[in-house]
Amino acid sequence: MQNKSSMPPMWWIKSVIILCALVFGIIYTLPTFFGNPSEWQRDANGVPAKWYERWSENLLPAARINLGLDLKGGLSLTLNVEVEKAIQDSIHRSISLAKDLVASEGVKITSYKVNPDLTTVVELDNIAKAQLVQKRIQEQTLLVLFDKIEGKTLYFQANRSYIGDYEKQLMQQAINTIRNRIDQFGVAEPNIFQAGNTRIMVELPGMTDTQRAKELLGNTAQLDFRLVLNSIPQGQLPQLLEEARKELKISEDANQPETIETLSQWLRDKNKLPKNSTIILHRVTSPSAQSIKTISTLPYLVEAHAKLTGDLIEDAQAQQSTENYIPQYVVSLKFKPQGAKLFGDITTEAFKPNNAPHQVAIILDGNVQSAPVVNSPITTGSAQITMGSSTNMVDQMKQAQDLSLVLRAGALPASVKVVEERQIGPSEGAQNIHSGFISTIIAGILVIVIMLVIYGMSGLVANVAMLFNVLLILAFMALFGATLTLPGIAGIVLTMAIAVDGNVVINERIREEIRSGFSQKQAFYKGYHTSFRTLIDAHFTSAVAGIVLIIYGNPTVKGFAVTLLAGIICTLFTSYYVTEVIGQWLVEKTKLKRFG
Amino acid sequence: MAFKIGNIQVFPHNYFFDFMKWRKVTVGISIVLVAVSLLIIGIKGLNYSIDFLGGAEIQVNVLNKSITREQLHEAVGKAGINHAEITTYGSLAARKDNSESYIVRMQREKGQDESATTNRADKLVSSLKAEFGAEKIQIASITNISGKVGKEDEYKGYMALLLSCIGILIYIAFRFDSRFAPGAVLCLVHNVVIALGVMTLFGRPFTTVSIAAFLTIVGYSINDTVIVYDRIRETRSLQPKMSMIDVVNRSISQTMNRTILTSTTGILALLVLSILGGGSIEDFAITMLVGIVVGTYSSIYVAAPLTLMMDGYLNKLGWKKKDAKELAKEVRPKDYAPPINVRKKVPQDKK
Repeated sequence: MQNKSSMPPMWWIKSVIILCALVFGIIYTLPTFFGNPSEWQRDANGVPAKWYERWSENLLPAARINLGLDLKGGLSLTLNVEVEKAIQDSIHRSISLAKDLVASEGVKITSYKVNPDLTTVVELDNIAKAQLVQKRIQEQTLLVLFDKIEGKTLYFQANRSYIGDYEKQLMQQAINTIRNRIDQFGVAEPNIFQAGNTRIMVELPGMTDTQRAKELLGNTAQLDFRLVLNSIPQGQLPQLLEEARKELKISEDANQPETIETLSQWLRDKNKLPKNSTIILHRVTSPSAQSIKTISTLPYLVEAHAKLTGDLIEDAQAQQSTENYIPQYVVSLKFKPQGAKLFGDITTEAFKPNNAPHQVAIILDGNVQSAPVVNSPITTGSAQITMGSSTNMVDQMKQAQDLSLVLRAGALPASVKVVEERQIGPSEGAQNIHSGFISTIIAGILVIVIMLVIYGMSGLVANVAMLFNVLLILAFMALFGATLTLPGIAGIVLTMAIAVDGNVVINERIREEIRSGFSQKQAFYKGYHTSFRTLIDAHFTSAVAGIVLIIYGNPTVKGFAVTLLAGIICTLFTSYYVTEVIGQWLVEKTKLKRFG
Repeated sequence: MAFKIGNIQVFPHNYFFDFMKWRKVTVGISIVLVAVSLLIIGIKGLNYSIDFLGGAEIQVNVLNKSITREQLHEAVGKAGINHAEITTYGSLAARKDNSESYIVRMQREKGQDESATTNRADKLVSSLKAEFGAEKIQIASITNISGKVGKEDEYKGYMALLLSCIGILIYIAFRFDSRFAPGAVLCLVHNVVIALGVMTLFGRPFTTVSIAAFLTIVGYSINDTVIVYDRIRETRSLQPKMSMIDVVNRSISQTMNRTILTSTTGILALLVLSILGGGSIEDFAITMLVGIVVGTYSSIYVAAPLTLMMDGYLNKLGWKKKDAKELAKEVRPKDYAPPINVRKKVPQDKK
């Protein structure tokens, strides 16, 4: 091939592949620039008014690059799902059910305890029927495994493999629930995804009423129903709490559910409260939204663990009640069949002689919402919650609506807390896009000029490849619906600067080969051939870092890593493959004096 | 060779530079730098942002620069927040709307794991709005993070760094041989520690974006090191009789052009980003800048001397020399012709 000008055999096929990539890059990048279809102006027939929008809707794919909230403005919330607690509660409920079952078979479980590490201790009065108890408990829950018997005590271990599945199930359920709730906001293009093992990330672009969003998503109602116990008269409870506060040095203002639980725990340990009971407050807070201040509290002694939770509710409606001649808002509940049965059981139990005064506490997020007196067992499967905590009718209506919304959309299987919130104003997003765009352009021009000055023609080819590279990265991001964030822009700029590295390596090699006496063409082919291994090694090692980031990063970092990895793959393709094909044509068919 | 546009040789091609002459000095410098960095990190501690510590961060844009930082500080104090820290944000370039940006950072109070829903940030925002009014300030962003997330993120960040080092180590061990691996990994550790040290020295905040920057530093410096290693491996198999020190020097000299060019384009792009990017881009770019400078240095003066050292050690054991010759026979292509300048110095066996 010394003097003949013939293209290498694969050249045509290679250039067709590159053309396909180019077409792919263009059609997947274009829609991103047309904006969101829901914001286009449309005529009466629903056809976009502008010709290029009509054209892009019919011909181009719908995939677009999402702009991250730091570029678009909006609200992003990270919610933590308290999975551990939910699992503990679930074990508790199952053992309590098992207790009732074995009681009907003549065995008594004197006490049981679920530890934070999910190991469980069950004490019996009669060891002879230990096997039966073990069998019943295993029937009720797969979350524990039998461990050993010591004296009259049965020990259970956490069933790790099943707990893993259960955790995933809980998370999926929580995500579905949150999605249902967000649907009711009417926010365009919300983003909901799992981040980490127990966290859910919610992005609400353009959301302005952050307070309301936080209330609905963050202070998500975990609703349960518990029997009010009367083994200690209600009048003595404040005194007991006071005693515990003094002993634990907790101030009187601290009325958070967690604090009260700590106090109850201490009282239980000191045998001042019955074993399976706890104190929960009915708090009346000041109506102003700015700061939450407790006005008055009323303690209730209730069962430590709920038998009936909000996920068994079928429907909830806010209504104006006309009873009592006082206008009042109520939330009417309808239970699913299983829930109706449990609710029936609870209200029936309220009528056992020792449970007078027949109260059932409706507990929302660790606070007693109301504790209605049950006049007779309710087996119809419907109930009402009265919104009594505020005297302001508008407040009451909003509370009732929010509560019914939360309940209707499906209560969460585990309680959820906002652990992170980011709110970015829309003008700030525009400013970020502006500075990101300007710096990308300037950095790009700098790299292009340097390459042209140093390498001339082959520098030009490298620049074409670099721009092609950016096009491909954008196209892939659109294809996978990736989110472009501020750090993502930085990643693209850095890719541009480092993408030419491959061509620098190749061009230097070609120069070396020319110096060592090869002809221009030979040097070209040899240069590409020998630098291939170097490039593979160099890119693959950087890719290792990117892969680790995708596995281990938080969402922001992950977005960055996806850009980086896509960048590496595209870089290898453009800086090696594309420049080779262009270079072959230049070397074989033109009178180019020097390449490299 | 004529120096004309389009054909510029930054580093003279036939210039054999004895890089390894100073290897003892540079290894010493590196050790001192790493020690000093560790000392700085140990004494000053990383300037963790609220991403890790928990707390609230409010970005306030002062329109037309009508309020000074002192005035803002006073207003924040008046709102009942005492330990807030106020810094300028994206300070290197003017903003488009002629506003000035400040970050008010309130750390989570010690011993209290407040959830992010605390209203401290909201309270401050409303009191600032009441104090100055909408024509003077604009709340650009509010971030509120509980400490719990931070701990998990921190752990994950360290795990990510550690795992990527291990992954790279495994790859190098497969593709190269035992004399190359320790150099590559120590080089990585060296770069990351020094970049961390510089960041701490200048009090740059350590955010989740910084973790991304550090992983990019890992990626970049390994890329740099691998290209030098690749050349060393190649020269060594082509010139089995050449002493290792000459092999290393020649390889570095040959890749010098590429090293200069690539780090120049990288540094220039990052300078642009750190000046014009603003905000979180600025943090990323400054960290990366340090990383690229240190990474370029270490691929020459940390990785190569360590490879030399390993080679000397392995030669003492006397089990690799023969292997290298055989390897050369296998790897050498059929149409192999040694470069002219090499041919002059070390005569080759005729094939």
